[in-house]
Amino acid sequence: MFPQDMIQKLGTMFDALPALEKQILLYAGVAAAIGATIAVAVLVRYWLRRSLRPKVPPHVYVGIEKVVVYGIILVGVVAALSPFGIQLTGLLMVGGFASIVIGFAAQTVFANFFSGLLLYVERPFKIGDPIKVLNYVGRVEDISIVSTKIRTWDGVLVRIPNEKLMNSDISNYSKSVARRIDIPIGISYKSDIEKAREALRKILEEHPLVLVYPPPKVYVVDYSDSAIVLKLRCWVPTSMWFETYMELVAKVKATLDEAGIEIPFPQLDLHVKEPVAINLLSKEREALSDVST
Amino acid sequence: MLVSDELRVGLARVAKHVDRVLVEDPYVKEEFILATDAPINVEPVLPAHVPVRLAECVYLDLGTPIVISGTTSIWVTIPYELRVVAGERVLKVLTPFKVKHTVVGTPYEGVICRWFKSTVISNPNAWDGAEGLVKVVVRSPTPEVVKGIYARLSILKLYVREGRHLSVFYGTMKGPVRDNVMYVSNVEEQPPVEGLKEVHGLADHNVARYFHMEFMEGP
Repeated sequence: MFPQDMIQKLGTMFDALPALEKQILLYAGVAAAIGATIAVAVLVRYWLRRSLRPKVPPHVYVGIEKVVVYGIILVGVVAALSPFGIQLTGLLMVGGFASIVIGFAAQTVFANFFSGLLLYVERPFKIGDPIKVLNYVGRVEDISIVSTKIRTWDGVLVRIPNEKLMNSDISNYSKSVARRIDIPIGISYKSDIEKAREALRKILEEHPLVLVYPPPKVYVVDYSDSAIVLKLRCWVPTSMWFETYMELVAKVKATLDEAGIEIPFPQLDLHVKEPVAINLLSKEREALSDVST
Repeated sequence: MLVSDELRVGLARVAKHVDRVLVEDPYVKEEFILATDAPINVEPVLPAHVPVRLAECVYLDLGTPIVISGTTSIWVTIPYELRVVAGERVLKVLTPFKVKHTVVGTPYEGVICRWFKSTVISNPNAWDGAEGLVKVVVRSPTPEVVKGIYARLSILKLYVREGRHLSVFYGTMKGPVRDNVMYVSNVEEQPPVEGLKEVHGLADHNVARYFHMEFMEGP
């Protein structure tokens, strides 16, 4: 027997039933459908908890679980109630229209929400990472579904909407075990370059946090207007970057002073082609005549 | 090792006067007032605390590469640090040697190791240097050139022999060679020579001398 024939036969049998029994059967069918819907929702929740919960942060998972489970129950219940004249299509139409209205009204909220989800998938940073984003530099303190909070190095808590974050350049300082330091320093044209390089190399060799590999370097980077510019380049453990940078910058001046290397300030030599008449003021003229006598 | 008046190990110095103790190494000099009769002891610990705890491993740079084949045993020098203890309280961790670090691997995905210029010792019984000693058993079926030894600090075993001088040994290291580096895969359970006492490898309090970035400083 084909299913269609069977359904037709069952329909005929149902129509032949007395009104009361028909009613009882209808209620029983609706109850069974609602029960089945709840069972499906429970099974889906069980599956989500096993497969999705370990992969996403708890506060994100809670939202996803609620949307999925209550969505299944809502659709199932409305479908089960169709024999009583409640139509799923009508409800979906109303729901769809309401979604459009709410969507327009809460566009930013949804944009932030979905950006938050993408952040969880892409994971450009995690809580505790030192990052730079939108001119803010600090440590990530919290990542929620709509915003991310950064504690800047000067102690300010900045809340950045996830949509803004998603569209910005993010620098994550903790993604490497080591980070480079570059310190440019100008020495005078009278100075011995090799002596200066040697003195600066010694600073890098002596510092316990300047890494042996990749090897540190000191080299001439530019012959500028007032100075020969050398550059100290080295790698240090990322977590100690700032402390090491501060120490090296402080040591550079002291070391060059000790080695007798001059750090020049900007200066300009003026050469005059033609002799220039100089008019002395009366006081200066008197002073000059006093010196000559 | 009990400090009665002054103890010098390599570049580290612990000096005890009537009511004061001075601890000193190339990176720190600090004095403590002793308002207690607790004895001042110095014990070796793993080279992981100075100037701040960040190394997960030690890399011994052999300087002159060694050519090996089959199973070869060598003794090499290895660093350690000294924990200065008053009673049971750690005052400071000092280093008897200059400290350097390196990256093993790439700066992006490698690991930060304590770096040490190591030398090969032919007769460990005659060794009177301040450095610690370790016996290294290298395995390679084909001839290999070994330039360095990499060992995770967590698997190392530290031993001490207290006599007139402090003698520090590590448990015998074993492992294969890859890309000119011996990677220590296991450490023998028993001490490398007789008469040694095993010591706990890590100091039990934070002896960081630098502020971490948690203290509102950053890149």
